[in-house]
Amino acid sequence: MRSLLLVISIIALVLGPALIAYGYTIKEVHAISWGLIVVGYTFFALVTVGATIVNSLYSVFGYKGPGEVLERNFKYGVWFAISAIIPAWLLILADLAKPLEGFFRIIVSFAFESRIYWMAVLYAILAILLVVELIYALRLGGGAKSKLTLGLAIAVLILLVDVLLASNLAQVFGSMVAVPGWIGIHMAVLFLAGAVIVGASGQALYISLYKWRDKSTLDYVTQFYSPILVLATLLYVFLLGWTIVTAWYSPAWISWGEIVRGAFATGFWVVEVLLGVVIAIALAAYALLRRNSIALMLTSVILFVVSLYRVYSLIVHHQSIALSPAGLPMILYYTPDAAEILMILGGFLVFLALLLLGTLLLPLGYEEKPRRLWIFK
Amino acid sequence: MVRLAHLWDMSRCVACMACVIACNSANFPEYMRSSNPNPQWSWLASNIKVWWISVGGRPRVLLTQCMQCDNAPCVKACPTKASHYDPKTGLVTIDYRLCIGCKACVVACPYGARWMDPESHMPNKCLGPECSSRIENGLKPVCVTVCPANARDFGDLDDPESSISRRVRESTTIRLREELGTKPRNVVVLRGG
Repeated sequence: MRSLLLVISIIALVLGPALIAYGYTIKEVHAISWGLIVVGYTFFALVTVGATIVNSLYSVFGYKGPGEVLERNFKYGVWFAISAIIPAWLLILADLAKPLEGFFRIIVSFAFESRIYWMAVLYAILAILLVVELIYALRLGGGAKSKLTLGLAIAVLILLVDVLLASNLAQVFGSMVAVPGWIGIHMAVLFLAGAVIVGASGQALYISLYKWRDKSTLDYVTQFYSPILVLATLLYVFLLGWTIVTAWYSPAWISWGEIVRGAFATGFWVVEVLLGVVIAIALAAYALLRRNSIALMLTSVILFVVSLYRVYSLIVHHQSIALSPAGLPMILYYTPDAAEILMILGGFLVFLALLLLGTLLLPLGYEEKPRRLWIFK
Repeated sequence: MVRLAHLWDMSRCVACMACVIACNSANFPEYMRSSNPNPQWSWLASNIKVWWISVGGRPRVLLTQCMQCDNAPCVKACPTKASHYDPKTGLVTIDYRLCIGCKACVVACPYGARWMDPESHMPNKCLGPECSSRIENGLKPVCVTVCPANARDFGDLDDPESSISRRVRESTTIRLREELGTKPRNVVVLRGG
């Protein structure tokens, strides 16, 4: 079984980048500039940010969770965050016209005024720190030891870079005066709350799936992640409401109005509100009260998918309705093309393949220690 | 300091689109036979964008191109400094050796003045290659030259003797979307002098 999974994950790891590369060669120009690829990149970036924030509850604040579930699965959490950062990189580079020299050009430009410049810098730092943290935790084994001074310092740095990265990513959009719907400060807090939702739901699903035979761990996972999902969703609702109220009194309403009661209202009310808030909170509360891990997994799947839609709506819908140079509303029609869909599929394949490979090859279990080549099982 | 800018006189423009076609043929001749040369605008491969607007219930045309902003969002958004102010002319210019095609400048422009090339996936903007070389040789851009209604001008706003400065002085003018703080240099004449 292990060999089969290994072969599947290696095939997926080859196929994913191949799909992204093929999509790059046939990608087209659309009426809006940042489409599905940027959505995918942002989504994976938020997965990393959210997972890292959840990890920091243990690594920075020392909270071990019910049944020490957070401590015992800490290395899985770090690997989950790393697995998401790689497809994010692949997707954003593939969205460039010159992907091979893109990162280098950005880094050596020292364009401090550009938010994208800071994304590259922060992203590189976060990736390096996460790998360092993982190696550190793998070498030490267990979870508690990583709270020693060096481990704590790495964890604090990661949390700091993480929050900066999410806020800066939000400002990549929020600083664009051309798109009034992207309201600066609101974007930052929406991104942070959204990151916790998608990171926690992804981690809950990942840990629940590989520990599906371990009833007690499933129980602890349910106890730990259900309240996080409920609270983060409530926070997101508050922040979203605040954003919409603010938009009502500003030019941002031209796109927010379409989202709330116009062309995109069905998606907003059905996907974001009904599925992402009402059903998700009800299911998570049920999971918590009944200790029902199936309900938690279902909540996680729903929130993971809804989060992708939320990012899509935040990025694409606001670009679709903008103001013309005369100050009049204009509609830009956008439908993702085959190249973009292939690239997103490629990103998800890479993500899943890395998750599987890491779980199979790395000593991520609490008691496990590396035996081969310094970091492998 | 030279502050080059375009002027478009709305009251004189007859919407013949000669400027749009001239821009297309001079700067993007390779796209003259393309069936979909500018998918971003669903339009010709031209740096002049056409907006149909309603003024008092009547249709009017609004022609825009790069506004040569003094506080250009595209320059600030660019992560590689490919979008920059040309030290000689002060014009917002793209250095294609540095550009990586991230599209941040296209998203950042509140005038929708940039469009992505469907072949190279790099941004295009006014002034195109032919017009840039014309300016270096002391000539005016092609859109100004071909306009049959004298609705266009180009020159140094800081030179009080230039034709553009004279027309600005003698006309009722606006700058588009100044409330955004972009400080656009390009002038739209509402009523000519």
